[in-house]
Parts: sequence; structure tokens; C-alpha cells
Amino acid sequence: MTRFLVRRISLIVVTLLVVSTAIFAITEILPGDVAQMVMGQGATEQNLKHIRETLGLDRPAPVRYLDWIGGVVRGDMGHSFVQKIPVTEVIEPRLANSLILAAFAFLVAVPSAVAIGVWMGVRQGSKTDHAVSVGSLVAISLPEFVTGVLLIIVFSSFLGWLPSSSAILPGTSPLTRPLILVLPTLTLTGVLFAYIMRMTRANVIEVLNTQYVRTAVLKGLPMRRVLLRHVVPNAMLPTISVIAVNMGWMLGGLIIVENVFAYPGLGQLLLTAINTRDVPLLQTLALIIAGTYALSNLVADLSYGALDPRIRLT
Amino acid sequence: MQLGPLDAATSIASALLRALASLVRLALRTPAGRIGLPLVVLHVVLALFGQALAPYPPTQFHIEDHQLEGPSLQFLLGTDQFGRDVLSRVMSGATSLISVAAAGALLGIALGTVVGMSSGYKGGRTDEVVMRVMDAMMSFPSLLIALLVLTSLGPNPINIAGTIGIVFIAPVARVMRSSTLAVKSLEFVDAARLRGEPNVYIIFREILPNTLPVLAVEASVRFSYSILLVASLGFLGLGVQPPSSDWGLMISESRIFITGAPWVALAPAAAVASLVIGVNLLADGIKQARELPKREA
Amino acid sequence: MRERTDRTIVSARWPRLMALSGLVIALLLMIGACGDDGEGGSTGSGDVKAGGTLTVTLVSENNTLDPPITLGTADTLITQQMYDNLLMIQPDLSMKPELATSWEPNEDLSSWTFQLREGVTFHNGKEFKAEDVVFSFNRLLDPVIDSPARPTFEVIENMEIIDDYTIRFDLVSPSAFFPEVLSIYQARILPSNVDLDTLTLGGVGTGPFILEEYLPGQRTVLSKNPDYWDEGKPYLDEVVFQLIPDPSTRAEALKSGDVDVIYQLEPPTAPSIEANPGTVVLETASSSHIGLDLGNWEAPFDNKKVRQAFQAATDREAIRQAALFGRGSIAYDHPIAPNDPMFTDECKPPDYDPELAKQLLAEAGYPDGIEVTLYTGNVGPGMLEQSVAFKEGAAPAGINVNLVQRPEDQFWANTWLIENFTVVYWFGRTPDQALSIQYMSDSTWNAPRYYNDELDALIVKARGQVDDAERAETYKQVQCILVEDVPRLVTAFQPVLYGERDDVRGVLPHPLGWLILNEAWLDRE
Repeated sequence: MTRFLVRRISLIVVTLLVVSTAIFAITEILPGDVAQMVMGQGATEQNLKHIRETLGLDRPAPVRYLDWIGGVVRGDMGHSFVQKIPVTEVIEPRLANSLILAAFAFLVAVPSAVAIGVWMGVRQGSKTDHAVSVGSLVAISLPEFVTGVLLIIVFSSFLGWLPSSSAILPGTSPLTRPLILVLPTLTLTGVLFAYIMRMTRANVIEVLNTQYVRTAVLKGLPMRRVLLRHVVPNAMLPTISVIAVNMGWMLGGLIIVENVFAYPGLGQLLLTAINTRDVPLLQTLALIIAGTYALSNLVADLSYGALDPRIRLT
Repeated sequence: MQLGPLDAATSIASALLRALASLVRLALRTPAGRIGLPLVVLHVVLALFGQALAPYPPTQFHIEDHQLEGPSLQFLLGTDQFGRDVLSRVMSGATSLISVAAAGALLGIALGTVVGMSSGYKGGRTDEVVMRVMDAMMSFPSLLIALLVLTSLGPNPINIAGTIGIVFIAPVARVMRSSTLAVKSLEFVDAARLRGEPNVYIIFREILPNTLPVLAVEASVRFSYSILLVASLGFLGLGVQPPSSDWGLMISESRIFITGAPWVALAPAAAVASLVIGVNLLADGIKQARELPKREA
Repeated sequence: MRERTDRTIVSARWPRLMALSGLVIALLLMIGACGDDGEGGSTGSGDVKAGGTLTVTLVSENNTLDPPITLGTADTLITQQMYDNLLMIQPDLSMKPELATSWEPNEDLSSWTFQLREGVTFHNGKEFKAEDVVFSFNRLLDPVIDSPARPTFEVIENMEIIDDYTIRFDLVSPSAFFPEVLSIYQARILPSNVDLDTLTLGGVGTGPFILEEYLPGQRTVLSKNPDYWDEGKPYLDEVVFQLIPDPSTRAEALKSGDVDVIYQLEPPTAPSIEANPGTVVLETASSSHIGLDLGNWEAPFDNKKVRQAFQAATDREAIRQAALFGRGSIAYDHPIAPNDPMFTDECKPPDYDPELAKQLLAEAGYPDGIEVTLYTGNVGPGMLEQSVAFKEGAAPAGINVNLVQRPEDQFWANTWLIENFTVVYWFGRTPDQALSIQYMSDSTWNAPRYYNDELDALIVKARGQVDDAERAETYKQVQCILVEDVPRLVTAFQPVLYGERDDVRGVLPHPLGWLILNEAWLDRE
């Protein structure tokens, strides 16, 4: 187990190094002149030279990479080219907002998905089961921007119940205006719910077919008790891994959802950084997203092993 | 016998299509397939003939008197900010989305198949290294890679398809590697090896045909992911550029009018939805028909 | 009743251009103004409610608050509240005394004497006197500071302090328009004892509001100056400028009441603000305009017939509808707006006529049509829409336009002025200023590289003509040349739009793009 952990973590470190190099290389070849961007039109050649020097753009790429990575390790992500304040300060409130949204989506999706998954597993083959199956497939199919836009059309354009944009002023917390969180949460929840529900259902069906459950039923134990005692705990094992995997996956969803709803989180910041060529910000964001993704994959693997003694981690 | 990469690609593609066709026949026996196939066929027809069938040219303005007009007999799905017919734009938007998504998916499947099968067949150190590289590639969310690459290289259909192809190498390679491992220990492979056939021949002529069902399922799944990605990139402004009638782009352009003119967003959203649902249902049908275990995540 | 002359609009996009737009406002205001500024924003005499916080959106980042070198809109909006000028041009283009109470020229207009306001104190407690005026203008004229407005003020030969509250400006050459130029945002009045190091991030003025918090890239807070010289004003307790770069987010913030004023609203978002209960759109005309630059230096645009073909293939109404949502007015390939007294309709381009365009193209040697690449992008309001509309309108004339989008930074850095077919937009300016910047042979921003000695001479000639009729005649010749030669396509004039909560009073869209809050108040409890 320890060996496995060490191996996995070192693999993550290697991966992050590779990822950071890739990010650096990609941002390196971004078209557009950062100095020009910072100074605006009408900057003189001298201004540009000066700004390149102050930003350190005149040094060779490997030096800047090491400099950057060194900073990242010390927690210094550099200064945003555009906002001219430390990247960490730009990211902090956005990160909080994204976490709030993600947390809401999980809180809504996981319990309901597990409950309905168990129910559908038990009532496998029924009409409801088929309907829910098709419904969840639809939910998995739809890209978040389509779900989001459809929700806006229904709840904002036609019904007028909810705001069509989740924009809030910088410095305010989305929690002060919970209504704006409803549609983004629902959008994110859609796919998440469907995945977890389908997994739970499949696992429940599998467990229901096992010898010990059959024995329990044959012994005359009440169905409710069989479910709570035997089926659900066993079926939950793989589901937990799915949930962990989905944490990473949800980052992609966040990028889209935040842009659909103009919600000021990391995903929206990422597109802003891309559009304004704010390289230090872009690098940090890409690193955060890739890092979280890698970590949640690790958690998924670990939980799989920890929860299921049949899997030996070597 | 010598096989160039191009021959390999064409042989894979044609064999794959044949396998898909037979699976689609099977899929029609499942309810999912029966709903999915017509939807997919509808979209393929739209992709091929949509522009010709559309009531108006997709970029034709009726701006003087029909800007952002709701659905009417003249414009069944309303008009957009340029007074363009939304129905016509939706009908002609399938072509670019489906062709770019298909190109990207095919590229990814071809590359992933070659990588996965070679790696699995070779085994040992090579296999270990290749798979670690694949792991590293998969630890990067595909949307993020696509965003970064397209920002750097510029969004155009070739770059989009190329990026998707690269993103898909790792997942496809994993699947193909494991099915290669399952097949390569079978007797006929040993027989071919004993006959002294070159590795390339063994991989593509002996092993590949036996992995085709798996590959076909993987292909349908990849195609649906590919559509999701292309449409999402279009929405984020990194897909095909205006004035194309790309659905993702149409939705993002209409975002600003959505409270006043929801029809401009509704039509392309419904189009993307029906296409992806159709492809997924069909893929699901194929899976069920093959009685393959359900794929996870 | 006389025609009003609505002109300059400033926007954040392009600081340098904006700076220049302030240069020759002197020529702007030949005529006083009348007319309404739209419903809603009346000053509402009588039952003014004092107090409250007004939140205004900023579209761009701040750079510096040091008046002589302010560039972006964001900076000038803030200094407008912190400082006073000697006088201030109001949204109706009338001139209102600020730190000067009256002014008077000598006989030949070569010297102007200003009476200054007594009993005014700066935010730091210093009493305002003539020495502060001299100090401020010396900074403006200081080559080391290199204010973009310096060339404008080099007309000042000498400043004479007659007493603490009287100052005389002796000019290099006579100018009837000297007072107007004192209104520009570089000419704010600073106290002579100010600590110069504090001017970038702060500042001390006599203005209606005092800077409390300045966070560039986020927000700026100003509080009421309780000792403001204009008794009882300002009405507001506090003004907050909030940076919101995304247009639809700005619109939502206004609708939800998070902000009270959207300074410079985009036409596409205007309808939703108008439709929304509780918010209104205020509009005023300006000479800000959009268009397409044709590279006259190389094929195919070195051929006048080709340019004329493009002119005939330009569906101006469609462009106005697409880019400005039917607001503003169409333009005739020159920067003089229809509501300007210098405008003539004697020379105008043909109505949209693809057949004529085809014929002209054939004469130019392109009987089978022509293929061109138009560089565009989200580089300014309506730019992409204009391109799409032009492409569609030009197609029937056999002009096949490929649109290539560039990100904003790349567009201004290495596309405009370099590629031979690009979109462009200009802030509102006086005819002289617009013509000088865009068409004079020696101007950096003569993007088409159109060199016409006759035109240059006419532009210079107009500057020296005091008589309106004579100058109108000169400008008529200019307009006819530009319509005939088509160095560039000017397609439409944009209005200045502000989005406001309906209980905001006294915040009027300013043709010059300024934001005056001295008499703003909130009709709410």
C-alpha cells in the first residue's frame, strides 16, 4: 500500500512537471506580444523594451520556466500582467466561488443520485426504470452549454423566475444571492447525477444477484433490511470511486457552465486569461486544473483500493 | 508484405465501417438503437443536404424588417440579430460540426489503435513506457488541452480535428491495448508468428479483425465525445468562426439576446441535443447488442 | 433654434486616440446647443433627494490619475469627480463656469482674462488661487511630463497673474475657441503645494468628490466633498466605480440593481435594458463612427474603380442595423456627421447597388468578381457585426469577402495599419480633428495611406476660416473629395448610450463621453 502510494504520488509529481512544461511551452507560442498588450496601442519601442525588461520577457525561455516553477513551488505564482496584482490574489476569490458552485452541485447530485440509483436498481426493468434510464442518458449526452441555455430559456426567458446571468460584483459572495446559484448548480448536477445514478443502479443490480443477498432474502429478512444492510454498502464501493473521478471531470464542466452563466469562478477566469493573454494567470490556472484533475484521479484509485479489499494495490 | 501507415488507416477505417454497419443492424433490435438510429440518420442527411434543403441561404440577411423576429410562417424558427433565418442556419450547421467531429474522432481512433495495439503486442518495457505516457496524457482534462492548443495555433477546422485526434489517442490506446492483450495469446496469432509474418501484418491482419467489435463500440463513444467537444469549443469561441452557422457559435452569439429572443438559442440547442442524444442512444444500443459490459466514465 | 453639435465620444479601448480627441475641442463648439437628451435623466429641479451611493461601471482598467497624462476613460471618469477645470462643457454642450467665474478676450482674441472663484479650498485645505492655475498649466506644458495635450496648450505664450483671483493667458495666435479647450480632462486644476508622488494613485483637487479608495483593475470609491464651492452640491454621498469588463455582465448588474449607471452601453444590450422594468437607456448623438479601411497603397485598392465598387457594394443601412441595432445614422465615407453644421448632402455615395458595383469592378479589370480578406474581430463595438453585414451585402456584387478574426491586442498591434482591408472605429471628433488624424498625408493614423495634397490644403484652410459659411464651403469640398475618392469606407455614426436605473437623476450621456456627477441624485428612499 505504502509502495503504491509513493509510486502514485511520484507519478503525479512527474505528471505535473510534464504538464507544467507543456503549459509553459504552449503559452510560450501564444501569438500576440505581451508587452504590446500591457502598454496598449501607441507604445513606443522604448516603452516596449522597458516593459519586456521589467516583466523579464527578454530572458531565454528555459530560464523563465525554471524561474516560474521555482516560484510555484514557493507559492509565488507571479503577477497578473493585466491586473498587476499577484496571481494568487486574482485567483483566491474565484477559487472560492468555483468551490461553492461545485459543492452545491455535489450536495444536490450525490444523495439524490444514490437514492434514485438504488431504487431503480431494485425496480430494475420496470417502466420507471426505463424512463429514468433514458432520461439519464439524455442528461449525460447534453453538453453543459446546451443544458444551461435550455434552463435559461425555460426559467428566465419564459417563466422569469430566475436570473439569466449569475454575474456578481467582485468582492461579493454568491452566497448572499443564492438565486443565482440555482441554474448553474442544476446544469452541473445534470450530468453528475446521471453518471452516479447509473453507476449506483448497475452496482445495486450486481449486488442483488450475489449469493449472500439471495441467501439473506431466502432467509426471510425484510427487503428494506437486506437493502440497507447488504446491498447499499456493497454497491456504494464502486460508486465512491465514480464520485471521485467525477470531481476531476467536473472541472471541465465548470469551465463551460461558468461561461454560460457569467459566473465569476476559475473557468470564467481561464477564458479571460486566454483572451487577454495574461500568461502568468493562464499558467497558474492550467496548473490548478490539471493538478486537481490528477489528484482526484488518485483519490479515485485509492478509494477503490481502500474500500474493496479484493483489489490489492501494488 | 509491406503496409504503409496510409494503407493501415484505410484498412482500419473500412473494416471499422463494416463492423459498425453490422452492429447497427444488431442495435436496431434494442429500443435505444431504434430511437438513436433515426436521429443520427436525420443529422447525417442534414449534414449532406441541409444547406440545399434549407428555405433560405444560411447567411442571407433580412435585416431591414426582420431583425430578431420570433417564429412566423415566413421564418419558422424566427430570425437572428442579422435577420437571418434560424431554421436555415440550423439546417446548414450540421455539416461542419459532424465533419470536424468525425475527422477528429477518426484521427484519434486511428492513432490510438496503432499506439495501443503496437504497445500491447510488443509488451515489456516499451509497453510500460507507452502506457505511462498515456496516463500522463489522460491526467490533463481534454477541454483544457483543446483550449490551450487552439489558442496557440488558432481555431480552424484542421486544428480542431487535430487536437481532438491527439486528445483521443490515450483513451483509445488503453482500450485497444487491453483487447490486443486478450487476442494476442490466441493460437492463430502464434501460428502467424511461426509462419514468420512481419509484426505489422500480424497486428493489422490477424489481431485487428478480432478486436473490431470493441473498436466499433469505442468509435461510437468517441464520436459522441468528439461532437460534445467540437460544439463546446464553438460555444467558447474557439471553434469555426463567424459567419458560419456552427451550432455552438450560434448559441454563444445568441446568449446576449436570450431573454428577449430565446428562439435564436433554442433551435441550435435543440439541434446539438438531438444529435448527441441520437449518437449516444445508438452507441448504447450497439453496446447492448454486443452485450458488452458497461463502460465506466 | 440652432442645431446642436454632438460630437466626440471617448471610449476605453484606445487610450492614445482618446487623448488626441481632446486636443482640438476648441473648434468643436462653434454653436451652442439645444434639444433634449432623452427621457429619464432630468435634473429634476425642486424635490432633489440628497444622499446615497451611485455605482457606475467602468469598462477598462485604470492606469494613472495624474491629470496631464491620463489616457483611458476609466482614469478620466475618476479625475472628473476629484478635480475641477476652469470651466466644463456640459452634456448639452453649454459651457459652465467651474473654477473660473467669467472670462473675456481682448479685441483681437489673442489674450484671454479669467476671473477666478473665491473661497474655494482644495481637499488638502489649501485655498485656490491663481498660482494653482499657473502651476497646473506649467505641468501640462512641461516637456518632461509629455502630456498628450501639450501641443494643444502650446498656444499659450504667457500666463500673467494679475491678482490672486485674476489671470490672463496671452496666446501665440488669436483663438476664439480658447476657453472650450480648458474643459478637457488633462487640464484639471491641481494645488501648487501638492506632493507630486501621490498623483498617480491619488490626488488632491477641488472637485465635488474626494478619493477614498483606488484599486486599479477593481473599483474606486469617492466620497462627497462637504466643502464643495457649489453650495448644496454634490447631492450624492458616495460614488463607486466598479470595473466589469464583460458587456452582458454589466447589463445584468444594472438590471439587478448592483450598479446604477452603465457608462457606455453597447447597442446589442440596449433593448434588454429598455425592456427591463426599472432601467432606462439614455442616448445622444455623436460623431463616433465605424468603417472599413482600404489599403490604397496596393492592389486591388490602389484602383479607384475598385474602391468605388466597394462603396456601391456597401449596404450601409444593413450595417447600421446589424452593428448599431438601428441606432445612430449611416455615414457617407467621411467623418462629418449629418447633425453637424459642416455636413453636406450634396455629395454622397450611391445607394447600395450591387449591379453598379459589379460594373465598376468589371471596368477595373475584375469582370469575374474579386476575392478579398477582411481582418476583423471583437475589437470594438459592432466591429464583427459590421464585417458580417458587409460580407453579406458585397456578395451579390461579386465581392467574396473572407473574414479573418484577430484578438484585440493583435489587431491593433499588427493588423490595422498593416493589412490592406480591416475594420476600424473612431471616437467622435470635430471635423477638423477627425480629418487631420485620419486623412492628412503626414498622419500616423492615415491607415489607407491616402496622400492627397489638395485635401491636405483644404483641411488646413478650414482651420483658418472663422466664418462658418466659408468653412462649410471648404468642408463641402473635402466631403466631395472623400466621397469621390473613397480612401476608406465610413459606414455609420454611433450614438452615445448610457444605461441607468430609472431612479437615477442628472446623469446624462455626454457627446464627448464624459461623466459629470455634480448634480446627480437618486430618487429613492
